[in-house]
Amino acid sequence: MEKLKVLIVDDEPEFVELVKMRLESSGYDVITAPDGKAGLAQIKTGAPDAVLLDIFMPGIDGLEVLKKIRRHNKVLPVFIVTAFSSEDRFEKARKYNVSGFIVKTSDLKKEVVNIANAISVSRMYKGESSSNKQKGKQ
Amino acid sequence: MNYKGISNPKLITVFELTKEAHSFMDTEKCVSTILGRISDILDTEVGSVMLVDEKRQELFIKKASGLDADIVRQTRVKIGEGIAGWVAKEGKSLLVDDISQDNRFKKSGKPKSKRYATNSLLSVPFKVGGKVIGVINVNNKKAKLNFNNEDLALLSLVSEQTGLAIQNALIYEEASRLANLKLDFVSDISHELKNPLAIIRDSISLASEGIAKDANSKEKHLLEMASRNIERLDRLLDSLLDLAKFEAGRAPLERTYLDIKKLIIDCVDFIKPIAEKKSIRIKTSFLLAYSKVWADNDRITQVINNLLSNAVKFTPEGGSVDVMVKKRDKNILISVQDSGVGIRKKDLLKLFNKFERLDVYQQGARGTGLGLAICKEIISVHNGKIWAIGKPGKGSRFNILLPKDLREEER
Repeated sequence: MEKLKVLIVDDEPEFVELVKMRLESSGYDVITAPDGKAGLAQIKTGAPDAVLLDIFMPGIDGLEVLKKIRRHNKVLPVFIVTAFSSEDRFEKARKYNVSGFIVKTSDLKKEVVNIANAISVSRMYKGESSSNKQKGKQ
Repeated sequence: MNYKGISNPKLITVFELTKEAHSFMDTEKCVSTILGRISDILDTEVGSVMLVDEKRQELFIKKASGLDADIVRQTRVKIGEGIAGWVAKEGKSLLVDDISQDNRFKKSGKPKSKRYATNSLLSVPFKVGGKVIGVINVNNKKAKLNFNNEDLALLSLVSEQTGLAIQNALIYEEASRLANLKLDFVSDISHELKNPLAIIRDSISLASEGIAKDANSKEKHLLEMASRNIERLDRLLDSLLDLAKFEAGRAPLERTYLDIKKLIIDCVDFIKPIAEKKSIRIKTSFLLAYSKVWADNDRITQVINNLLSNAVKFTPEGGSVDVMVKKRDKNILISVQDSGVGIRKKDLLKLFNKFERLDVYQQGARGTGLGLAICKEIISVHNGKIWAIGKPGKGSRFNILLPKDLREEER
């Protein structure tokens, strides 16, 4: 089976490196982008199966990137990454169909397990909806 | 000052006013009450309470009645200048029957605006320990009468009785302003430190996973030590933030009617595996029929866990920890007694201070130094009390008094 591809959009290279290592050791392909603009470009060219999106970034911030993603793609699993556990931007982000939230200061090992679970769940639903479509065609 | 000229009903009003003024921790409310009641008693058109700005050596209006909001906002009087400035500087009261005729204040006799013209006025300082902290001014009786000596005596009495109330409110406000500043600072620092800490934690965690197979390596031991201390630093940051929240009064309680017996049993179950490793026996006794308190479950759990883990930490192998809960008057008394090293009398109070490292605590104990300080804050916001008793070599006992759920009275 082909590996799932995760895109990490975050301006903190060390955080990116750690999450990349964790995800790769859990069997994912990982591509990265250091800012919102590069992230949007990667979504087009790299076609990731899920995105980890830092909410605080210079230039286009995470929330704007999320809005732009949702204009073209309603189902791509997006995880919001933030340094704080309570953040009113969480609430704003929720409106745009978010798969989960990752707090940078919490245990990354656990967070990566949560991401993996959420991706597999969203794959499952995606699978269901596409099979429904096929049924409709028949 | 001679108060004999003041009529009895007025004295009673002054007494009530004084009592009320001392009940406020908010300067604005405190001076509002004083000014409002004084205006009623003396039947005045205009009044103001001015406070001293120490830095700028000026008076500003804290509260006024019958004055334009603009005037209130803009007025700044140098100490020594004008009527209020003179009163503040000299620390003496002033009764002026007709200001336009008073040579001392010729200049002030011509008000810049015609909104109101002062005829008769009283100006009295608020003094605390001989120092002027403000001035109360009342102008013009509604009945077009001049102020008399009874009015002066009355206002002086009020200012003497309430100066301390205003001072206390000012001190309280300043203290909470500082506590809030500190909380913001601690909160910023804690967030800034937690980011790199998370990176270090996870780097070490990844590195440890890589060498997990070689169980006895020195590297593994070192990584574990690093990891342990990162957790400790993380806990320390959480504790600092927690404590700063309490100090700023910004740690809201989520109270429910909780069963303290159940809570303690849960806490004991939680600590048991650690106690068993040291062959420490934990005994609980509940000597009361009704054990509900109106309290925050998580916060009280935090306190009990802290006391239990301290007790286990400072009790040698094979020792015992006894937890006893019983009624004491209108409170529930919780005692945690250990058979550990005990505490010297001079250390009993210091225990609850921040970062207090007592001799016994040097013996391999690795706390944040904030645990008991936080316990004290938690119990205090529950209107309870926490204290320690014990002698060196005879173990120590931590007592908590928590007010009982008052509904029990109805049963």
